[in-house]
Amino acid sequence: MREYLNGNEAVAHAVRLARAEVVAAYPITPQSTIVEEIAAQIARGEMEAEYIRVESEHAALAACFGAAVSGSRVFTATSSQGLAYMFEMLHYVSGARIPMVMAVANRGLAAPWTIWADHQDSVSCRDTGWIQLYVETAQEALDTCLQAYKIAEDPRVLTPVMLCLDGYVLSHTEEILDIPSQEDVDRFLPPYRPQVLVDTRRPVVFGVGAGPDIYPSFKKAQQEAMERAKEVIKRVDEEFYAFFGRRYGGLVEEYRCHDAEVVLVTLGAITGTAREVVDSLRREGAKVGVLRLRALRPFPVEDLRESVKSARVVAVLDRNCSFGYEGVVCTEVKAALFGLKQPPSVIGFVAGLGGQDIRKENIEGIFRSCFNSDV
Amino acid sequence: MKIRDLPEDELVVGSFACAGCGGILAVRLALKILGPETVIVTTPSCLLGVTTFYPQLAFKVPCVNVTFPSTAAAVSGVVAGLKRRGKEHITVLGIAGDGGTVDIGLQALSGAIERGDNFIFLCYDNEAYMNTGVQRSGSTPLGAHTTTTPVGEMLKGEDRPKKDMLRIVAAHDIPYAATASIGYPQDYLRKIQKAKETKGPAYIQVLSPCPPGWGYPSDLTVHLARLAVQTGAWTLAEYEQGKLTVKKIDHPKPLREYLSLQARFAHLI
Amino acid sequence: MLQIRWHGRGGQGVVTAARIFGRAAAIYGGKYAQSFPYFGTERRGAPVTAFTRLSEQPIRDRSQVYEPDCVVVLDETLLESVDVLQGLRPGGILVLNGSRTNHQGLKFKLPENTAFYQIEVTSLAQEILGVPIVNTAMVSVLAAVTSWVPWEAIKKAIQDILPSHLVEKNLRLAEEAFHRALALRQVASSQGGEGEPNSKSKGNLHLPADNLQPNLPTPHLVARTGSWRIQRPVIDPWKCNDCLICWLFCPEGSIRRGESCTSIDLTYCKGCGICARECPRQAIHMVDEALISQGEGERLAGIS
Repeated sequence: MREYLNGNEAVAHAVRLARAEVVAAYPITPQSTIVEEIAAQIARGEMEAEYIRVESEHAALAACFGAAVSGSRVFTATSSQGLAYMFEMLHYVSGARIPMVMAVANRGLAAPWTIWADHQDSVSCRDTGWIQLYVETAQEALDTCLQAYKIAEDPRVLTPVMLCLDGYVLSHTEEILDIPSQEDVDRFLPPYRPQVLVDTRRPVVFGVGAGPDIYPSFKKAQQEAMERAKEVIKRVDEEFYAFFGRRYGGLVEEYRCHDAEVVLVTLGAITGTAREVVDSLRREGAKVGVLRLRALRPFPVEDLRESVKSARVVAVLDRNCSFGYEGVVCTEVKAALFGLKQPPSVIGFVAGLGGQDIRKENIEGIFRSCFNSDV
Repeated sequence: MKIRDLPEDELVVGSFACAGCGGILAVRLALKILGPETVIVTTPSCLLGVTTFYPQLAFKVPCVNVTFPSTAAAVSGVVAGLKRRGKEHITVLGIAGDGGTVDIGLQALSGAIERGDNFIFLCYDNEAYMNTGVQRSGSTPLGAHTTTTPVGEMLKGEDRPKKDMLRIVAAHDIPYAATASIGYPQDYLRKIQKAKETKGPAYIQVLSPCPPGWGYPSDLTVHLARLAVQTGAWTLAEYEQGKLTVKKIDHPKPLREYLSLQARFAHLI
Repeated sequence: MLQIRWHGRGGQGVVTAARIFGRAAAIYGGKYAQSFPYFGTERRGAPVTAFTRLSEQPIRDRSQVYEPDCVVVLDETLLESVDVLQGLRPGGILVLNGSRTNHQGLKFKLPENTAFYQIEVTSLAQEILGVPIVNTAMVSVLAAVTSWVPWEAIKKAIQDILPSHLVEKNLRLAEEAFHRALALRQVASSQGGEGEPNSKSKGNLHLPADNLQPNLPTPHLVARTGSWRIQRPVIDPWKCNDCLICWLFCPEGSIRRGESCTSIDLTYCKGCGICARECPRQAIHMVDEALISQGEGERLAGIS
């Protein structure tokens, strides 16, 4: 069904189509309209789920933890300060291997206080053991939300997924999109059937304590699951394509990279603008391309190396900053390319913090400076 | 209630609790009433440290461990999850120590009570942060020595009165709330039974003496829990249908009898 | 570098023993030293380990101690549940507090050329301190059998570390223990191979690492905490009227309700003594485990 929706509404529809059974969330801009729309769908009788009106984000994730181990498919959403307030629970969920999906409408962190987009919030949670997928459009937000449940619940993965969409730029921007039918989604995404759950006939403990002799084994298992997730993310994207005719490249999405001398690496919504710039520079004869990292964790090392094979320069656009060093994605890209025989030079650009708009001219400037660089 | 009527089956077995732990006794007794159709939700505390350390599980019921501030929030999640599976007959029992209840866990508990979820919250009150080495909590009584309220020239133990948690939960118009003591097991078990029968949230705060934290020989645990009531240091109260009742002690014993058995009050004697 | 591993139970002052020895060496003994507990929480009665390192050079290694030169065991009941010999170097020293003679072939498991000293100081501590806490005594015993740290240094460290009201009695205990140990020249050398390595020291949880499936939530599995006991409850069947007060108050659920006879299952009993304290007919007596092994439990409990 064709619809005209913003990114938040698209996610809310995906949560309904995924038949999430328990939703627990706390309001925060620019996420709030996701859970408002879910509440409205439940109120209208379009969606059957328990909605827990918690008193904080920390509690939201704790409630999701409790509901998930009791056998429910769960959902929550947050942004910025709310994600920071969840930090402790993020590790609990991933460490206990609870598959769930959380939407993060990306927003900068105070101080200075801001409600506008950048990736500082989710990038700061890079090492919490969650799979992080960044989307470019409202359609992709909807589609990736459905994919995310399938990835998280895969027995080889059992790892939560953070679905990251830029605040306002995606969350509050309406566009035309296709909403799949419930029948098709049900075929793509079967009901959640956890192997182990809270059951009085077979008592187990979730969130167990572990001493120094065994703790590393739990963590190694998490790392191995993340490695396996790379293949699962790609496969689910292909399966989704077979059902719905849309796909997003799995871990990375290339745009005109095959012969590009300068490749710009991006996360999230800014990629669309970058595509525009690539097309116009290509018309001038400049061999440029853009590579969107759909997954920040697991990090797509192999795909990245493949995609920038022809590049002389790799530029990285970061909507975040690791203070005292550089943009986080820039560091990641450098590390991934380290050890190649003739590695491209990597140049980092931090832009668009706290909702500062990134315009075509800015991206064009990035490309031009890369061509002019002597590196 | 006759002792022999209580089920013989033990649902807490082989914990690493200290010898004479009042907290583990409180949980054992509560499970005598609640039975195997119970899910425990708890947080890092002595209880978690002594019952669920890989590969150990000292409960014969399922256990969900979450962050220190979020016992009651996870309780809400388990309640919702069990409801979805049509298992509403299972009792969801949140357990936290006094720190996890009256301090860091207060916000989540307030939220869960106000939402009206069907659960029991059991606070085993040993009047300080015992798991981390006897630091004061909001529930530490006036005058008690703890490692963060030591006794010296400038400070004579805890200098603030104990937080009145029962009145806080009562202010939520909770259907049922009570204080209890493991020294009065009949009274405690009756209150657990009432909590089980309550539709909606129920709160029980049970005095659970701690041999190393309070500084007394391990055999005195029950004796002290009883003396606390007999001397008026602890009250047995019940809040039901908007009414608070307190058990009257007709001939209270001198407080000295209670204080003098514990190293944490040695400087007062 | 010399590495010492201390074994005891929570509440017996094991960590303090490691610290006293380390401080004595570092402040008064002209050496470099390091002391630390096994990192984790301590439960009263549960097995506890602590470590002391001594060296003529500054100590930079901050890893735990795996191959001690010396093992000091404060409580012989630990031998039932803890592999105290784990990693002990050939030619090392084992110091054991206890009076039992048969420790299931302990002597046969000693690494080559182990110097084995067994001494009983619990009753001495009970006599002088009024409580069976032997940490200062065992520090002194170690000083006596090794000469690694001067005796005067040990005494000064005890004065520094213990609360002032405990110093005098502990110095008396230390002095007595030191001189008894000096007289002890019972060196047992080993016969046979090393003890089975066993990485689990907490309670009796022995699970081979291969069986661990850390991805899965844990099923019910418990530790047999009966080995923690220092004293054992013994019921006088002539006095017991099966009122079940002891059953009600037992934190471990260790009392068994028979049809007509209440009994105690010692598998998990930690010997807290609540049952004896609460029994309205004083029908339960707490008896030292050390004496039980000599078959005198019932006589000592006054049961005829």
